[in-house]
Amino acid sequence: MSMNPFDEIAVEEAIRLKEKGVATEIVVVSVGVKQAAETIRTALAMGADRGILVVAADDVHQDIEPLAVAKILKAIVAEEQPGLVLMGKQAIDNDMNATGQMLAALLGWAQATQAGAIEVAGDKASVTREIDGGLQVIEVTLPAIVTADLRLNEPRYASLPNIMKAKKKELVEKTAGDYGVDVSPRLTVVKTAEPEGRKAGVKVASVDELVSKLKAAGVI
Amino acid sequence: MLARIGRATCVSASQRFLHVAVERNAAFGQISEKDVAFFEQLLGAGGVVTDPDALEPFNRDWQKKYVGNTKVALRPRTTEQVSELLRYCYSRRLAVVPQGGNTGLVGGSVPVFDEVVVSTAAMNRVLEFDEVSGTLVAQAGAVLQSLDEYAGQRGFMMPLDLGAKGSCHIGGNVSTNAGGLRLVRYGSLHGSVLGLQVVLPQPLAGAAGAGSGGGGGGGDGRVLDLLRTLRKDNTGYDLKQLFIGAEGTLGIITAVAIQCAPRPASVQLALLACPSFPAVTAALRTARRMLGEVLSAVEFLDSPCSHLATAHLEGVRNPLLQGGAAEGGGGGGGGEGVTHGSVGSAPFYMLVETHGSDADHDQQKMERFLEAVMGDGSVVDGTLAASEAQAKSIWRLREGVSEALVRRGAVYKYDVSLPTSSMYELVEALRARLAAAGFGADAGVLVVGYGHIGDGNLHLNISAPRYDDGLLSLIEPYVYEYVSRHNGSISAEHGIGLMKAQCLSYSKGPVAVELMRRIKEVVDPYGIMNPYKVLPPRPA
Repeated sequence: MSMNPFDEIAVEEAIRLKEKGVATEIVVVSVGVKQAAETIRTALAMGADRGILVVAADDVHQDIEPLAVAKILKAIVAEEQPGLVLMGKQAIDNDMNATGQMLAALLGWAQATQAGAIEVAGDKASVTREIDGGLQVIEVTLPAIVTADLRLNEPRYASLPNIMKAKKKELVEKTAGDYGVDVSPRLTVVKTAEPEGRKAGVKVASVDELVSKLKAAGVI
Repeated sequence: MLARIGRATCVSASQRFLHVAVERNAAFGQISEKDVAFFEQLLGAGGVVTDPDALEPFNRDWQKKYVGNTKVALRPRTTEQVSELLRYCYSRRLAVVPQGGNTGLVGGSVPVFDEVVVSTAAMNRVLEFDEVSGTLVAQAGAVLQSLDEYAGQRGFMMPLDLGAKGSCHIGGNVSTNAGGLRLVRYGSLHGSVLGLQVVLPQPLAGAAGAGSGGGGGGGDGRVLDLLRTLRKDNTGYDLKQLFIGAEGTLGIITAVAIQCAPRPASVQLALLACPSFPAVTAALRTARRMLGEVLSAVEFLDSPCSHLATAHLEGVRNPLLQGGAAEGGGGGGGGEGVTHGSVGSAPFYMLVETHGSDADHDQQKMERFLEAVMGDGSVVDGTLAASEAQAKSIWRLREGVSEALVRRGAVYKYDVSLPTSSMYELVEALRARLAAAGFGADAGVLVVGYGHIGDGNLHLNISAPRYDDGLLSLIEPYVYEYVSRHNGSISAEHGIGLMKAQCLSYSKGPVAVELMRRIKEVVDPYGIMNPYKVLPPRPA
């Protein structure tokens, strides 16, 4: 079981912030099946301080929807009082790209999504976001939600001595019920359709024919 | 004790040496237009290559060390065509070089002079796969990686893996008894090949051979049909073993039946840094004891190998080195795909891999192993691949050494079997010997060692700015004599080919060599199959 690549980038960023002296403690959270404890151990081996595993499903194929995850995270945020929440921008199994945004809305916090770079100074963070048109730099006031995109950093390998140390770090196991959250699915799939196939084109024999066809189609 | 040829001169890797030391056998026929016309009629124009530019890849080996001068390369599509080809070549005494992916390292797959190249490139189909037993039957020209993907889609894997997997053909693998990265777990091809179909240069039986085993071959008595998918078959001499490792000198393998292994549900890979070679062997002992039944690969490389791979290959880095590759991910604090707080460059690195059916069990085994080797000091640093991407990256470090050496400059390559505990002494002894003669690090000469430590197999390489006969004369026969003194093998897995054709006696005594010659004479009286290679000629 390996960590969602965007989450791995978020963990790496958290560790770098701690190495820079900006962060004092890194708490890693995973919501899902019991085996997700492995990914928490990997994060602890990379350098996180302690982990919380919220067991919310028995079967790895059972999907926990973003809103349910966001509600659980909101409860954990209330307990832990972090200055910054770093998350992967999306999970590569369902590509929803929704949890970070929903969490920000539930908390009433600022959000900086698709982060390609983060600079923290005092109670503000300057985040460079990767958007369709290019790069956008915004400033948010902490505490805030930041979701990590691909180019934020390249995660480190966990070294053996750290893998050994990680086994002694705290990993607490909870359930969705402990936070009063019902994870039953609320979304229903209304319709699934393949994108329309490309229709075959037509070959024309000459430029004149091309022009007349374009005219007939009302294009020129 | 093994007898040694007193004044053996092994054919060197330098191109100049080759043409001086070996003479073209005047008894062989020479390609004429009539021959080409026959081939074209048999194989179609697409199956015959005569254009000099198009012939270049058939004439030259992967390392660009051995260059032949064939005028024609053939691409048959069926066993029947191969049989017809060999019948014709035999009748005309045309020498033949069977060629698969042409990834060999001892000059065995390219012509020395104008031998006809018979390529298996057009014979690449899977013929049969049994999903219950995992037995695969394929034509000899099927590429190893394609077969592994095919088996993978059905929950199985090929029982061998090597760096050349994207290009090498299964027929070539069998002909050279290729070893590779996972021999320590899945055994050698002598065990995993269940059957073969081979075309012999001369017919040994009349048309329509007797017995129900006639199969699709039989033909004109030169197709040896041993193609079975049976695990157990004790009916007479096990002839297929002769062809496994015969390097194309007895016949052309046209189809292979092989036992695939179940694809493991759990794969783990650790990259470890060791402070000395005794530490490497200690870690190997611990790995055998604690990982035993799930151990699937144990490889080692010395520190210069790691530097070579990271310096000469794009995107390859050693996760255990601070700052990564030479042109690494830039400065500043931060990951850049490496571990942190590591001790700096270690003299040796090991890759330890497990294949198993249960992830939880295997992880526990791996954890206990790692604790043990960190605890007793045989390992000072390491990392466990946390994803397939990380595992691929770590393998690239080890598998890329060969390519990095070729990019650096001239390479003299040796592949030997030696007692494991003293294996690296050869590297150190040669390094000192070359340095004392002025071929040290300041002369740009690197002596490096890496390889399949789980199999007692060292890949000794000497990297130099250019080929130099003076340097070569310091290396050979010193290396062969050293190996012979230690009762080792002068070729663990690469084979003899052209490179070591005069050196067989360093590892095999006169009775063995004579029996090999007799078998060759019975099967190939005209000696047209891959001449000048493997067997030394009888002393005059």
